[in-house]
Amino acid sequence: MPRFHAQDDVLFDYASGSLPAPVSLLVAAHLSFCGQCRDDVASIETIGGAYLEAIDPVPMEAGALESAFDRLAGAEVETSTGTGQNAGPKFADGLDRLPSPLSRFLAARDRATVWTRRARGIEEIDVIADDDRFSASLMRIQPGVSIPNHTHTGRNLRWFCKAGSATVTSITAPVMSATRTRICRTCRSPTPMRRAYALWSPMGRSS
Amino acid sequence: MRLGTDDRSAEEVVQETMLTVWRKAASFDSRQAAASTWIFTIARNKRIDRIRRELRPELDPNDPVLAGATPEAADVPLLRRQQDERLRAAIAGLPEEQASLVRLAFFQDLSHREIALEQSLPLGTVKSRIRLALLRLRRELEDLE
Repeated sequence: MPRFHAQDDVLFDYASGSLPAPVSLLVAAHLSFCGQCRDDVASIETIGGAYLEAIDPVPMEAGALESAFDRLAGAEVETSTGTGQNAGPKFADGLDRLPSPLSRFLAARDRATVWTRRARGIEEIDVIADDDRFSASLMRIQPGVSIPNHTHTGRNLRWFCKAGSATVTSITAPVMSATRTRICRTCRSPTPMRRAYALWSPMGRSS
Repeated sequence: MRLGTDDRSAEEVVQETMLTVWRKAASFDSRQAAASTWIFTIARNKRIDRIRRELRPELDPNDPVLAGATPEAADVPLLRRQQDERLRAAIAGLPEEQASLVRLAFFQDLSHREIALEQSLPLGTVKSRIRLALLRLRRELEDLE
Protein backbone atom coordinates (compact mmCIF):
# COMPACT_ATOMS: atom_id res chain seq x y z
CA MET A 1 0.00 0.00 0.00
CA PRO A 2 1.55 3.30 -1.04
CA ARG A 3 2.25 5.80 1.67
CA PHE A 4 0.78 8.65 -0.30
CA HIS A 5 -2.61 8.99 -1.82
CA ALA A 6 -4.22 11.15 -4.40
CA GLN A 7 -6.37 13.92 -3.05
CA ASP A 8 -10.14 13.56 -3.05
CA ASP A 9 -10.76 16.25 -5.63
CA VAL A 10 -8.21 14.70 -7.99
CA LEU A 11 -9.86 11.28 -7.68
CA PHE A 12 -13.24 12.89 -8.26
CA ASP A 13 -12.02 14.65 -11.40
CA TYR A 14 -10.50 11.36 -12.55
CA ALA A 15 -13.75 9.46 -11.92
CA SER A 16 -15.86 12.09 -13.67
CA GLY A 17 -13.45 12.17 -16.60
CA SER A 18 -12.42 15.80 -16.42
CA LEU A 19 -8.68 15.52 -15.82
CA PRO A 20 -6.30 16.36 -18.65
CA ALA A 21 -4.88 13.15 -20.16
CA PRO A 22 -1.37 13.45 -18.67
CA VAL A 23 -2.72 13.93 -15.14
CA SER A 24 -5.29 11.23 -15.67
CA LEU A 25 -2.45 8.91 -16.63
CA LEU A 26 -0.66 9.64 -13.37
CA VAL A 27 -3.79 8.84 -11.41
CA ALA A 28 -4.44 5.65 -13.38
CA ALA A 29 -0.85 4.52 -12.74
CA HIS A 30 -1.24 5.25 -9.04
CA LEU A 31 -4.51 3.33 -8.94
CA SER A 32 -2.72 0.28 -10.28
CA PHE A 33 -0.80 0.11 -7.02
CA CYS A 34 -3.29 1.51 -4.56
CA GLY A 35 -6.35 -0.43 -3.49
CA GLN A 36 -7.52 2.37 -1.25
CA CYS A 37 -7.67 4.94 -4.04
CA ARG A 38 -9.29 2.34 -6.32
CA ASP A 39 -12.02 1.92 -3.72
CA ASP A 40 -12.44 5.68 -3.54
CA VAL A 41 -12.81 5.95 -7.30
CA ALA A 42 -15.29 3.05 -7.30
CA SER A 43 -17.43 4.79 -4.69
CA ILE A 44 -17.39 8.04 -6.67
CA GLU A 45 -18.50 6.11 -9.76
CA THR A 46 -21.31 4.54 -7.76
CA ILE A 47 -22.41 7.98 -6.66
CA GLY A 48 -22.13 9.18 -10.27
CA GLY A 49 -24.40 6.34 -11.35
CA ALA A 50 -26.97 7.24 -8.71
CA TYR A 51 -26.76 10.87 -9.84
CA LEU A 52 -27.31 9.76 -13.40
CA GLU A 53 -30.57 8.17 -12.34
CA ALA A 54 -31.53 11.25 -10.36
CA ILE A 55 -31.07 13.95 -13.00
CA ASP A 56 -33.91 15.06 -15.23
CA PRO A 57 -34.00 13.38 -18.62
CA VAL A 58 -33.33 15.52 -21.69
CA PRO A 59 -35.32 14.72 -24.85
CA MET A 60 -33.31 13.16 -27.64
CA GLU A 61 -33.63 14.16 -31.29
CA ALA A 62 -36.52 12.71 -33.27
CA GLY A 63 -35.55 9.33 -34.64
CA ALA A 64 -32.82 8.75 -32.09
CA LEU A 65 -34.34 5.50 -30.90
CA GLU A 66 -34.79 4.15 -34.43
CA SER A 67 -31.25 5.12 -35.24
CA ALA A 68 -29.96 3.33 -32.14
CA PHE A 69 -31.94 0.22 -33.06
CA ASP A 70 -30.50 0.35 -36.57
CA ARG A 71 -27.00 0.41 -35.18
CA LEU A 72 -27.84 -2.35 -32.74
CA ALA A 73 -28.94 -4.57 -35.60
CA GLY A 74 -25.39 -4.66 -36.91
CA ALA A 75 -23.71 -4.85 -33.54
CA GLU A 76 -22.08 -7.94 -32.22
CA VAL A 77 -22.49 -9.05 -28.67
CA GLU A 78 -19.28 -9.02 -26.69
CA THR A 79 -18.74 -11.45 -23.91
CA SER A 80 -15.14 -10.85 -22.97
CA THR A 81 -14.07 -8.51 -20.21
CA GLY A 82 -10.66 -6.86 -19.91
CA THR A 83 -7.78 -8.70 -21.47
CA GLY A 84 -5.34 -8.62 -18.61
CA GLN A 85 -2.68 -8.27 -21.30
CA ASN A 86 0.09 -5.91 -20.41
CA ALA A 87 1.81 -5.52 -23.74
CA GLY A 88 4.00 -2.57 -23.01
CA PRO A 89 7.65 -2.23 -23.92
CA LYS A 90 10.12 -4.27 -21.93
CA PHE A 91 13.18 -2.61 -20.53
CA ALA A 92 16.38 -4.49 -20.00
CA ASP A 93 16.84 -3.14 -16.50
CA GLY A 94 13.84 -4.70 -14.91
CA LEU A 95 11.30 -2.01 -15.54
CA ASP A 96 9.10 -4.52 -17.24
CA ARG A 97 6.21 -4.35 -14.89
CA LEU A 98 4.83 -0.94 -15.61
CA PRO A 99 1.20 -0.41 -14.82
CA SER A 100 -0.92 -1.10 -17.87
CA PRO A 101 -2.13 2.50 -18.44
CA LEU A 102 1.49 3.64 -18.71
CA SER A 103 2.70 0.77 -20.87
CA ARG A 104 -0.22 1.27 -23.24
CA PHE A 105 0.76 4.90 -23.70
CA LEU A 106 4.41 4.00 -24.19
CA ALA A 107 3.52 1.31 -26.70
CA ALA A 108 1.33 3.73 -28.66
CA ARG A 109 4.01 6.35 -29.12
CA ASP A 110 5.17 6.62 -32.68
CA ARG A 111 8.72 7.32 -31.56
CA ALA A 112 10.99 4.61 -30.34
CA THR A 113 11.05 4.11 -26.60
CA VAL A 114 14.55 5.39 -25.92
CA TRP A 115 15.78 7.13 -22.82
CA THR A 116 16.99 10.65 -23.42
CA ARG A 117 19.67 11.91 -21.08
CA ARG A 118 18.55 15.05 -19.27
CA ALA A 119 21.26 15.47 -16.67
CA ARG A 120 23.79 13.35 -14.91
CA GLY A 121 22.00 10.24 -13.74
CA ILE A 122 18.65 11.39 -15.08
CA GLU A 123 17.02 10.11 -18.24
CA GLU A 124 13.59 10.77 -19.58
CA ILE A 125 10.99 9.48 -22.02
CA ASP A 126 8.16 11.76 -23.06
CA VAL A 127 4.92 9.88 -22.62
CA ILE A 128 2.30 12.47 -23.51
CA ALA A 129 3.55 15.79 -24.72
CA ASP A 130 0.75 17.07 -26.87
CA ASP A 131 -1.51 18.63 -24.30
CA ASP A 132 -1.62 22.42 -24.03
CA ARG A 133 -1.00 22.70 -20.36
CA PHE A 134 0.18 19.35 -19.12
CA SER A 135 2.59 16.75 -20.22
CA ALA A 136 3.69 13.49 -18.71
CA SER A 137 7.09 11.92 -18.88
CA LEU A 138 8.79 8.96 -17.32
CA MET A 139 12.14 9.61 -15.70
CA ARG A 140 14.81 7.17 -14.70
CA ILE A 141 16.92 8.41 -11.87
CA GLN A 142 20.13 6.65 -10.86
CA PRO A 143 20.74 5.73 -7.23
CA GLY A 144 21.67 8.68 -5.08
CA VAL A 145 20.80 11.31 -7.66
CA SER A 146 18.35 13.90 -6.42
CA ILE A 147 15.09 14.61 -8.12
CA PRO A 148 15.58 17.56 -10.49
CA ASN A 149 14.90 21.04 -9.21
CA HIS A 150 11.27 21.86 -9.06
CA THR A 151 8.91 24.06 -7.16
CA HIS A 152 5.73 23.12 -5.40
CA THR A 153 3.56 26.03 -6.38
CA GLY A 154 2.33 27.29 -9.71
CA ARG A 155 4.42 25.27 -12.11
CA ASN A 156 4.00 22.19 -10.11
CA LEU A 157 5.24 18.67 -10.57
CA ARG A 158 3.06 15.74 -9.93
CA TRP A 159 4.67 12.43 -9.99
CA PHE A 160 4.39 8.78 -9.48
CA CYS A 161 7.44 6.93 -8.43
CA LYS A 162 8.52 3.35 -8.74
CA ALA A 163 11.73 1.93 -7.44
CA GLY A 164 12.90 -1.39 -8.78
CA SER A 165 10.45 -3.94 -10.04
CA ALA A 166 9.90 -5.90 -6.87
CA THR A 167 9.16 -3.24 -4.31
CA VAL A 168 6.68 -0.75 -5.47
CA THR A 169 6.39 2.63 -3.92
CA SER A 170 4.06 5.03 -5.50
CA ILE A 171 3.54 8.62 -4.72
CA THR A 172 0.86 10.71 -6.18
CA ALA A 173 1.48 14.30 -5.49
CA PRO A 174 -1.52 16.54 -5.08
CA VAL A 175 -2.42 17.85 -8.49
CA MET A 176 -4.16 21.07 -7.83
CA SER A 177 -2.52 22.29 -4.70
CA ALA A 178 0.83 22.03 -3.06
CA THR A 179 1.42 20.29 0.20
CA ARG A 180 5.02 21.10 0.69
CA THR A 181 6.02 18.65 3.36
CA ARG A 182 4.54 15.65 1.67
CA ILE A 183 6.41 16.00 -1.57
CA CYS A 184 9.61 17.39 -0.15
CA ARG A 185 10.15 14.51 2.19
CA THR A 186 10.22 12.28 -0.84
CA CYS A 187 12.31 14.62 -2.94
CA ARG A 188 15.10 14.63 -0.44
CA SER A 189 15.54 10.92 -0.28
CA PRO A 190 14.99 9.42 -3.68
CA THR A 191 15.58 5.79 -2.83
CA PRO A 192 19.35 5.77 -2.30
CA MET A 193 19.89 2.10 -3.10
CA ARG A 194 17.79 1.60 -6.17
CA ARG A 195 17.12 3.37 -9.36
CA ALA A 196 13.99 5.44 -9.06
CA TYR A 197 11.41 5.86 -11.73
CA ALA A 198 9.20 8.85 -11.69
CA LEU A 199 6.21 9.48 -13.88
CA TRP A 200 5.61 13.13 -13.74
CA SER A 201 3.48 15.75 -15.22
CA PRO A 202 4.73 19.29 -15.00
CA MET A 203 1.97 21.82 -15.39
CA GLY A 204 2.96 24.41 -17.94
CA ARG A 205 0.76 27.36 -17.14
CA SER A 206 -1.64 27.43 -14.28
CA SER A 207 -5.02 28.68 -15.39
CA MET B 1 -27.12 14.08 -19.88
CA ARG B 2 -24.97 16.66 -21.58
CA LEU B 3 -21.52 15.73 -20.34
CA GLY B 4 -20.01 19.02 -21.39
CA THR B 5 -20.33 18.37 -25.09
CA ASP B 6 -22.52 20.14 -27.64
CA ASP B 7 -25.98 18.81 -28.52
CA ARG B 8 -24.87 16.81 -31.53
CA SER B 9 -22.00 15.20 -29.64
CA ALA B 10 -24.18 14.52 -26.60
CA GLU B 11 -26.68 12.66 -28.85
CA GLU B 12 -23.83 10.68 -30.31
CA VAL B 13 -22.42 9.85 -26.87
CA VAL B 14 -25.83 8.63 -25.69
CA GLN B 15 -26.19 6.44 -28.77
CA GLU B 16 -22.73 4.99 -28.41
CA THR B 17 -23.36 4.38 -24.73
CA MET B 18 -26.58 2.52 -25.47
CA LEU B 19 -24.80 0.49 -28.10
CA THR B 20 -22.00 -0.44 -25.73
CA VAL B 21 -24.42 -1.32 -22.95
CA TRP B 22 -26.09 -3.69 -25.37
CA ARG B 23 -22.89 -5.21 -26.71
CA LYS B 24 -21.30 -5.68 -23.31
CA ALA B 25 -24.37 -6.62 -21.34
CA ALA B 26 -23.15 -10.21 -21.09
CA SER B 27 -19.97 -9.15 -19.32
CA PHE B 28 -21.72 -6.89 -16.82
CA ASP B 29 -21.26 -8.33 -13.35
CA SER B 30 -23.84 -7.12 -10.87
CA ARG B 31 -21.64 -8.29 -8.00
CA GLN B 32 -19.00 -5.80 -9.03
CA ALA B 33 -21.15 -2.74 -9.49
CA ALA B 34 -24.68 -1.49 -9.77
CA ALA B 35 -26.00 -1.15 -13.33
CA SER B 36 -26.16 2.60 -12.92
CA THR B 37 -22.49 2.70 -11.96
CA TRP B 38 -21.57 0.61 -14.96
CA ILE B 39 -23.55 2.83 -17.34
CA PHE B 40 -22.07 5.94 -15.77
CA THR B 41 -18.53 4.72 -16.46
CA ILE B 42 -19.39 3.73 -20.04
CA ALA B 43 -20.94 7.15 -20.75
CA ARG B 44 -17.96 8.89 -19.18
CA ASN B 45 -15.49 6.89 -21.27
CA LYS B 46 -17.46 7.48 -24.49
CA ARG B 47 -17.43 11.18 -23.81
CA ILE B 48 -13.69 11.25 -23.12
CA ASP B 49 -13.03 9.22 -26.27
CA ARG B 50 -15.06 11.71 -28.26
CA ILE B 51 -13.09 14.68 -27.00
CA ARG B 52 -9.63 13.15 -27.10
CA ARG B 53 -9.74 10.75 -30.01
CA GLU B 54 -6.64 9.17 -28.59
CA LEU B 55 -5.76 6.70 -25.90
CA ARG B 56 -7.61 7.14 -22.64
CA PRO B 57 -5.60 6.59 -19.48
CA GLU B 58 -7.55 3.90 -17.78
CA LEU B 59 -6.95 1.47 -15.00
CA ASP B 60 -7.03 -2.13 -16.21
CA PRO B 61 -8.68 -4.13 -13.42
CA ASN B 62 -7.07 -7.27 -14.83
CA ASP B 63 -3.56 -5.82 -15.00
CA PRO B 64 -1.14 -8.46 -13.69
CA VAL B 65 0.89 -5.77 -11.91
CA LEU B 66 -2.12 -4.60 -9.93
CA ALA B 67 -1.25 -4.28 -6.27
CA GLY B 68 -3.09 -3.30 -3.13
CA ALA B 69 -6.04 -5.00 -1.56
CA THR B 70 -9.34 -5.00 -3.34
CA PRO B 71 -12.24 -5.91 -1.10
CA GLU B 72 -14.44 -8.85 -1.92
CA ALA B 73 -17.35 -7.93 -4.10
CA ALA B 74 -20.51 -7.84 -2.03
CA ASP B 75 -22.77 -10.41 -3.57
CA VAL B 76 -25.90 -9.11 -1.99
CA PRO B 77 -28.46 -7.80 -4.45
CA LEU B 78 -30.92 -6.88 -1.71
CA LEU B 79 -28.32 -4.84 0.15
CA ARG B 80 -27.36 -3.21 -3.13
CA ARG B 81 -30.98 -2.22 -3.79
CA GLN B 82 -31.39 -0.78 -0.33
CA GLN B 83 -28.13 1.04 -0.76
CA ASP B 84 -29.30 2.53 -4.07
CA GLU B 85 -32.46 3.79 -2.46
CA ARG B 86 -30.60 5.30 0.45
CA LEU B 87 -28.09 6.87 -1.90
CA ARG B 88 -30.86 8.45 -3.97
CA ALA B 89 -32.56 9.75 -0.85
CA ALA B 90 -29.26 11.19 0.35
CA ILE B 91 -28.69 12.88 -3.02
CA ALA B 92 -32.14 14.42 -2.85
CA GLY B 93 -31.38 15.63 0.65
CA LEU B 94 -28.12 17.42 -0.16
CA PRO B 95 -28.08 21.19 0.36
CA GLU B 96 -28.47 22.85 -3.03
CA GLU B 97 -25.14 24.66 -2.77
CA GLN B 98 -23.44 21.27 -2.60
CA ALA B 99 -25.74 19.40 -4.97
CA SER B 100 -25.36 21.93 -7.79
CA LEU B 101 -21.56 21.73 -7.68
CA VAL B 102 -21.57 17.94 -7.68
CA ARG B 103 -23.87 17.99 -10.72
CA LEU B 104 -21.49 20.33 -12.53
CA ALA B 105 -18.54 18.14 -11.63
CA PHE B 106 -20.19 14.95 -12.87
CA PHE B 107 -22.03 16.11 -15.93
CA GLN B 108 -20.45 19.26 -17.33
CA ASP B 109 -16.97 17.92 -17.83
CA LEU B 110 -15.59 20.51 -15.45
CA SER B 111 -12.72 19.96 -13.07
CA HIS B 112 -12.85 21.47 -9.59
CA ARG B 113 -10.69 24.30 -10.85
CA GLU B 114 -12.92 25.03 -13.82
CA ILE B 115 -16.03 24.98 -11.65
CA ALA B 116 -14.42 27.53 -9.34
CA LEU B 117 -13.73 29.80 -12.32
CA GLU B 118 -17.19 29.38 -13.81
CA GLN B 119 -19.03 29.87 -10.53
CA SER B 120 -16.75 32.67 -9.34
CA LEU B 121 -16.11 30.75 -6.14
CA PRO B 122 -12.78 30.21 -4.42
CA LEU B 123 -11.29 26.83 -5.30
CA GLY B 124 -11.24 25.92 -1.60
CA THR B 125 -14.99 26.49 -1.37
CA VAL B 126 -15.67 24.27 -4.37
CA LYS B 127 -13.44 21.55 -2.94
CA SER B 128 -14.97 21.65 0.51
CA ARG B 129 -18.59 21.66 -0.72
CA ILE B 130 -18.00 18.70 -2.99
CA ARG B 131 -16.03 16.93 -0.28
CA LEU B 132 -18.88 17.43 2.21
CA ALA B 133 -21.37 16.06 -0.30
CA LEU B 134 -19.18 13.03 -1.00
CA LEU B 135 -18.67 12.34 2.69
CA ARG B 136 -22.41 12.39 3.19
CA LEU B 137 -23.11 10.14 0.19
CA ARG B 138 -20.28 7.72 0.96
CA ARG B 139 -21.80 7.07 4.34
CA GLU B 140 -24.61 5.32 2.49
CA LEU B 141 -22.10 3.06 0.75
CA GLU B 142 -20.18 2.01 3.79
CA ASP B 143 -22.44 -0.79 4.92
CA LEU B 144 -21.51 -2.75 1.83
CA GLU B 145 -17.79 -2.45 2.26
